[in-house]
Amino acid sequence: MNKTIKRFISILLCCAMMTTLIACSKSNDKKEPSGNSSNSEKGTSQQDTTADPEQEIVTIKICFPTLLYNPSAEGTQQTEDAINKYLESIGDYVRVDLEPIDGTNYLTELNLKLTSGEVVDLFCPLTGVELAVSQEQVLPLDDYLDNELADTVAIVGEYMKAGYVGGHSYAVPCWKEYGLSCYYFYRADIAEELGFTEDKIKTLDDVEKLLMAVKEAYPNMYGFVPTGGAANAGNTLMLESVLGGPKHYKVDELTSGVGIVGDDLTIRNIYDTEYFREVCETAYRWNQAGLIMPDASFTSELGRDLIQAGRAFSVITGYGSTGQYEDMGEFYTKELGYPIKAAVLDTFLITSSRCSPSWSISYNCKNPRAAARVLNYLYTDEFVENTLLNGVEGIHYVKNADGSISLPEGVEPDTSTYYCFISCGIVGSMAIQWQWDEAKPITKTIDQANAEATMSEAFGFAVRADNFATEASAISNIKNKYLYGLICGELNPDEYLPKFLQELNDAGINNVIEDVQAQFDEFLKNK
Amino acid sequence: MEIRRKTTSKKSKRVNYIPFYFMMLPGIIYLFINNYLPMFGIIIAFKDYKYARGILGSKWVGLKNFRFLFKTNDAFIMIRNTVCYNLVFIILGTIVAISIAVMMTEIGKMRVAKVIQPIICFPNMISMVIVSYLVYAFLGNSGYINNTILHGNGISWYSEPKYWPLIILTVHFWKNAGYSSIIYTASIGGIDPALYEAAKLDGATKMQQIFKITLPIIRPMILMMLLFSIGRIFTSDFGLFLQVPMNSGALYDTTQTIDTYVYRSLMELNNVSMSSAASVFQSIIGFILVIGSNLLVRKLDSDSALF
Repeated sequence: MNKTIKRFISILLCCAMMTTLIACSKSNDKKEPSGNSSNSEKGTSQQDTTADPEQEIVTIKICFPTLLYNPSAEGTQQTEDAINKYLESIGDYVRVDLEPIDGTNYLTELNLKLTSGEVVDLFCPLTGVELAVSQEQVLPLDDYLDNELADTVAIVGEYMKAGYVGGHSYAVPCWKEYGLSCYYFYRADIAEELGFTEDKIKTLDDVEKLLMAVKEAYPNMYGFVPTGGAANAGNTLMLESVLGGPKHYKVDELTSGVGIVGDDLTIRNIYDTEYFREVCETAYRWNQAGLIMPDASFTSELGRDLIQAGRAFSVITGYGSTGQYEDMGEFYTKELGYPIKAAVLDTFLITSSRCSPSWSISYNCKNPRAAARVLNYLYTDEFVENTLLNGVEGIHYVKNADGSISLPEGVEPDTSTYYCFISCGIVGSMAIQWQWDEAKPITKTIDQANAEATMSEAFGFAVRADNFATEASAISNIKNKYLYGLICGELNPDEYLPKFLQELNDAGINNVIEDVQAQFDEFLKNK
Repeated sequence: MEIRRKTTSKKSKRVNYIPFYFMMLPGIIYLFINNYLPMFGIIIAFKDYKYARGILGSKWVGLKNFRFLFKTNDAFIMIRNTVCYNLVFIILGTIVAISIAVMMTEIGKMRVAKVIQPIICFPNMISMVIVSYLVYAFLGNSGYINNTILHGNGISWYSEPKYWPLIILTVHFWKNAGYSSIIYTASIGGIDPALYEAAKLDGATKMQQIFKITLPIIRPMILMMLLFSIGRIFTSDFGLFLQVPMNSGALYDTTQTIDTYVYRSLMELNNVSMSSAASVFQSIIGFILVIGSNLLVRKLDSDSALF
């Protein structure tokens, strides 16, 4: 009996194995002709660049990340219909298929979709353009820059370079202010009580003096608290951002641990520099003096919440300056319920990785030309962009007399069936987005803000990590081990910094530096 | 004559079994789709996976994807941690589970058992994320232990790797001991009570009953559970080793396991091939260990072997 069962099972397994193999080879066969057809399509449609009303309707899927609030299927359908109705009314042949994806799952879900061959026409390669290109997830945009995407290129301008890899354009960065400022937010009531007025808080040294005074007067309050880092990585006090800004050391980290410091164009290990030593020493000094919240590197209680609860005095966070609030202190005061003031300690350097997220066309898009058309609407068409973010008028928002929009009566962000406004810095152009609740005069355009910011010397340079994937994985691990403890001041730099550097050397960071330097020289030559 | 009868009976047997095969079918199909089809994905580990080319179209690169696992000194640390923790979990875990099961059956007739059983099983239902905050409430800088027991001059637990083997073990057993005893409780419950009565009449003590009756009877079950866990010796409970230490870098020496290493190295790289290389490595070692230990068991006691 045992034998029969075994035989039976083995036959079954064999059958099933055969069918999978057949299925695999089939899907493989299918891929070829579809690739060819899209190529030929490219060839034919290249001749007529204007939209032909007779042309077949093409639906383009847009997979965009949502934050905090996830729209319902019903709300998404209504929004999609509204956009499609509009596109039909202006006589275009493209239609959209919206797929909002929870931002925290975006990467995983997109990976699954792309691996399984599901068509996602437009998406954000969140792991970086160069990685998406080296893994062949995206198509080049070169053919569309002069026609479908011409208006977008005119808006984004030189920042389009952030989406270039190896001389070809692969992604369009969303249009917003790229060079954020590092704001030091602090409780103004306490600072003034201790004799620190706004004009006395300009640099990190001033901050240190202020924190010392706060520690003295309010020993039970955390003087300085961390900001959350990337998902599942450690926290940061943002000192490395302040000291890495253009007014300080001017650091551009090009790939994990490797970058340029200052105006010197030599690629180096950024942890083996004066800059990083100063970050660690400052943090460690503050930690030893009791100015920083304990367990800062991994706590899940973060800046804003602690200030709101009255348990913390200050935090550093990066924000743009073109938003509704000219004075970020005013914004925080409203949000957190305490009088808050903000001091700009430094700004962020505009680097390629700061111009993100960007938008790409997926490798399996059937009609990339139509996808480029849709992408262009997100930068140029007020209706498409704002409907995608805010939903349908009357259901998800109402228009105010001054041109701004508000939630309809009785609807809250979490009860609305479509509220994606938090994705405003992710999708399309921020310049054409409607303001919420109250129309404030725009004091600074995005163009102006970006022109004021400092651009990195390496802007437009994308590192290809193909040759050092093994090293990069080891470096990433070592970084996780030491970095957050060091930048949050929990590890003594005299003891742990040499260990950190030794392990990085053992992991082969010098090979990475060499490889990146060669790529960078090539880039500078062609610049 | 004899032979003929045998064949006919065999045939009729086969026919008789057909309905059972059909009953098995859904299970087999499930097993196949869930456990066998994904094995095809193993080849990703040997390829330089490119999305546009698909799994079969990507280039073969041999063992290149496995290299990152052994690149640094961490390879030794993570393999040591994974294997050592698992050995302790298996050995101590079996002892703890059986002791709980024996004790539970002893008090099974009392009312208290109805209360105790859910209580010791309850921690298993709590998500590791919540467990990590419970631990943090005890060990954090302003947590319970530092504030009350150590009166403020506490230890910063999250930057001292040396305490963590003990903390991990405590958390693991607190969470899993009750649940893992259930299967033993069930098999002890199936033992014929007449055996114990007879032993009692012969004057056997409680201890003698446990060692002479209970344990020998549930031995096949114990061996089976051991074999199962040996197969997983190269994998680790991700929540226990990543969430509970709050992903604190200073603790890597004692909390880094193969799974957390893979997670931490590939979070930034998003490299499908390298991550599947890691799990192929774990599975193959696990497979070899299961086959090996089953061989050993069969040599020692052929009745208890799994296959």
